[in-house]
Amino acid sequence: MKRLKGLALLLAVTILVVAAGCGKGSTGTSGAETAAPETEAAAKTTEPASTEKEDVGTTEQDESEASEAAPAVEFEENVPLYVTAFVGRNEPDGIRTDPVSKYIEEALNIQLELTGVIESDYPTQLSGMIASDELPDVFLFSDVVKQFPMLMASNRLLALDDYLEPYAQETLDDPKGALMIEAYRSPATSPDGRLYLWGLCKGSWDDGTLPTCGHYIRWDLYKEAGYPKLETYDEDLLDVIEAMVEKEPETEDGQKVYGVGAWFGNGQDWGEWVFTYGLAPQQGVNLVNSAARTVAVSTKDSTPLESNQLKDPEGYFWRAVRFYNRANQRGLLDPDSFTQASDVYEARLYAGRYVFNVPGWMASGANNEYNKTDGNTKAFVSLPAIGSDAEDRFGNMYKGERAYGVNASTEYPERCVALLNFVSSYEFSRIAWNGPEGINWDMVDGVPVPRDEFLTAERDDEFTTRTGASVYHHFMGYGNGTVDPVTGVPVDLFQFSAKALERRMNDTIRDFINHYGQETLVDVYKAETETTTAMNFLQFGEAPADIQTNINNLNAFMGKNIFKVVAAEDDEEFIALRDDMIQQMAEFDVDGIFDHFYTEALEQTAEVEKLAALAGQ
Amino acid sequence: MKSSKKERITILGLLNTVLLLLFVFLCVYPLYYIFINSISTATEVQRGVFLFPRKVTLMSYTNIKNIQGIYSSIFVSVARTVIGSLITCLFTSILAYLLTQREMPARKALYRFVIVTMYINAGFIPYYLLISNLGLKNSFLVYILPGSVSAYYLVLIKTYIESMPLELMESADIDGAGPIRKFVSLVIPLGKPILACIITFAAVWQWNSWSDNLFFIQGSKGRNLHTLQFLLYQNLQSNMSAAIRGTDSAAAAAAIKITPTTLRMAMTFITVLPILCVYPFMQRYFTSGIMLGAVKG
Repeated sequence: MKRLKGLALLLAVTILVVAAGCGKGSTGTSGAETAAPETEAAAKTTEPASTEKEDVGTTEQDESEASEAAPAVEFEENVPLYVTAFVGRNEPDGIRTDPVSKYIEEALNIQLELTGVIESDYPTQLSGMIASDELPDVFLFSDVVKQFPMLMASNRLLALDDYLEPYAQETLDDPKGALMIEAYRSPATSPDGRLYLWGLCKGSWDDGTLPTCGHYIRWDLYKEAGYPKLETYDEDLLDVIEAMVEKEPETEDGQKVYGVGAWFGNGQDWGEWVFTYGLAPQQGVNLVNSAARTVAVSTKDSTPLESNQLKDPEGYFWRAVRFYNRANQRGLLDPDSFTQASDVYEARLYAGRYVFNVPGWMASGANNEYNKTDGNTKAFVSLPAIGSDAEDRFGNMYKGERAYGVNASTEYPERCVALLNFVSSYEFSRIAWNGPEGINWDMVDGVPVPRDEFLTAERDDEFTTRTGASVYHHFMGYGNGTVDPVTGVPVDLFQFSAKALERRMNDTIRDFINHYGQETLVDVYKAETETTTAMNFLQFGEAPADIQTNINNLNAFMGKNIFKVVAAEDDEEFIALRDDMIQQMAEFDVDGIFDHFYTEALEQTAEVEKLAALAGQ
Repeated sequence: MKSSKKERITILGLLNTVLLLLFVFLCVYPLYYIFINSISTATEVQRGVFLFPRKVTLMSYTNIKNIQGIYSSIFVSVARTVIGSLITCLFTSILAYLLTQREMPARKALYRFVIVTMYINAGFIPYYLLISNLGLKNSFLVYILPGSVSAYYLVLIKTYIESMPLELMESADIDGAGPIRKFVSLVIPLGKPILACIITFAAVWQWNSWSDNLFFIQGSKGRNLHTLQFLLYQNLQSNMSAAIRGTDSAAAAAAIKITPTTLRMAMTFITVLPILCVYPFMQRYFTSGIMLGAVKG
């Protein structure tokens, strides 16, 4: 008995000793473990040193002419700053070695402890950090609507207002920066009118020629088909697709070409993407995802549409569903669309098996692939709005696509705000996208010009680490298509500089431009459609719990049943299935959801007008 | 003396052979499919690669080889697999043995307490807080200690020990052996099948785990503590999000040669292969171990 107790004791003691022993060697990573906030006395304001060269630790950089952002504030003490952001994972977490990271560190005199997030797992990770009070100094919000109230309730967010003038004057002076700040002070994202969130990735992800979602068609086939009439989305577009497929029924290696494909296999949300974004934005309307797509908002002036889109058989949502159903009925929809995931769709698109496509980045990837094998012939081109005087083409991420916050317990609030301000500029955005000047690009007569080798480089981890290009893809002020007002060139030179655009130009794209009688792609879109920039300033907060439950259930219901409607064999069956779904939506109080968000949209009229005025409307 | 008896080929034998070959094919083909897809070009994979690799390329493997820290992560993964599975086996078997001892005070209550953990857990946040408060964040021990005692394995081992002849234990008692001696000299040698089985289970679990790395190993302090599975997962996610987010279509275009599908195939093959090697060594124990545990349970 004694020995038995001894053995039990031994087991217990072993576990305790090992557990206790390991505790000594380990410390947290966050600034939340540090002492209470205190002012950085060492910081001093200086004249903006725009001509002062930043040493990024590379020879090439040393040789370059300086044209880069310099902080208006110099910090004497070197401090560690823990940042969790959506950035490239070309290097392990911690202190990075790429020149852009070094550039930030030297400009702000910090050790940048950077952790890159994996988007799908970050919400859980953030919940753990919030609970254990181990938030980094600066951190990403993956879902502002859900996470912001949680952090406010636990007093974990620093109000940034007092730090703006001394440490973020450049952002205040930048009209887009001021608009972002004002937007985050609005009631939807601030309970007391103070600034708790900081938006990055403002502006646009493209220059208007490659919208994130668009009606992309193979223009070479359209031309070959004799430019058939294309005035309506619901009818003409399908006729056009059919005519294009007739021109190329098979790929060169004998695979069947379908007009349209999709990735319904991905299921709810991502699998339904083409219904949410396949039509509405091209008609100047945004379906509000957080309202379960019941509410649609005009991109012209933020006015909510009066009809509940999920219940309106002729609304944008159901028209998009009907388009895919009709494509299916006419044998134009790839039957594998119902089971395949997006990566398979993308690979098939690249193989030339679809002549119509919606995601802009996939069209761009397909064009790159065609260029390798088909030279100047095949190309997807985004059509101007079909049958509408407005479209969401030139992005306007006025709040920034990504929101970041500062830990209320940070020891260095000034440095955190200075960091956010520093990365928010056009100059830093250009450096973030392309690497520091002198490595991948040069400033020629005040215009940034990419080097040839940059445009042809294979962008693997080694390249990214060596040059720093795109490491900070979601931790910089402006999306890559945003035009820097000083240089007149979008910040991503690899994608949108004149040299890059010329490289991508081919006879097919020239034919498209000529067809519309214009000089450039951008001209075509601006000439063909009255309003091409989205001015949607509505901000929806978290819905009450009962409504949110209904939204979740409604989304699940839609994700489960919508593909059956697409598969309907004829119009009669389509209408029956659609109407049945609309009827069943009552179970999830679809009217209540719509009323809540519609009312909220109307209540924001004054706020919207204020933001629109700031945006120069 | 020479055996004159000739093996006769019967229809039943032939049928058996065909069926077994078919079964072998069903078992082997998925792995073979993964392999041939991992070494074919992305375009060919999209067209369908079913029997032989087409346009062989090692691009996916090269991509994996170039992931920073991949070699140290292999070492960490092997270390956690070896140490973790041995510790799980040792600690769980000690506790299981104690719980079979009638003299052990409150053993039923303790056993029930352990069993409850199989059905009820507090969720992620309390677990995160516990690990954090124990100071296991950014420590190699976070891979080992939380799984050192498993309720499920405990049930298997306890059941196995209880199936051992009581007379053996009694004779050991008569010979003056105490609990530790009996554990070392009787339970461990006689329990080889179940222990081998547990080691295999634990090794597979340890080898495949990545979420503990994701949540508890961060920043510079954890730089050299990443596991292979985590780095592969992270790399796959980066490739997929580059393809999906559309903000870096140049990167996406560069990734055409290695679509997420081909990368996933290569990663799966790399991760499956080492752990497959464990099974042959444990096979002779495996069947009897798991069957005995199941029947007596």
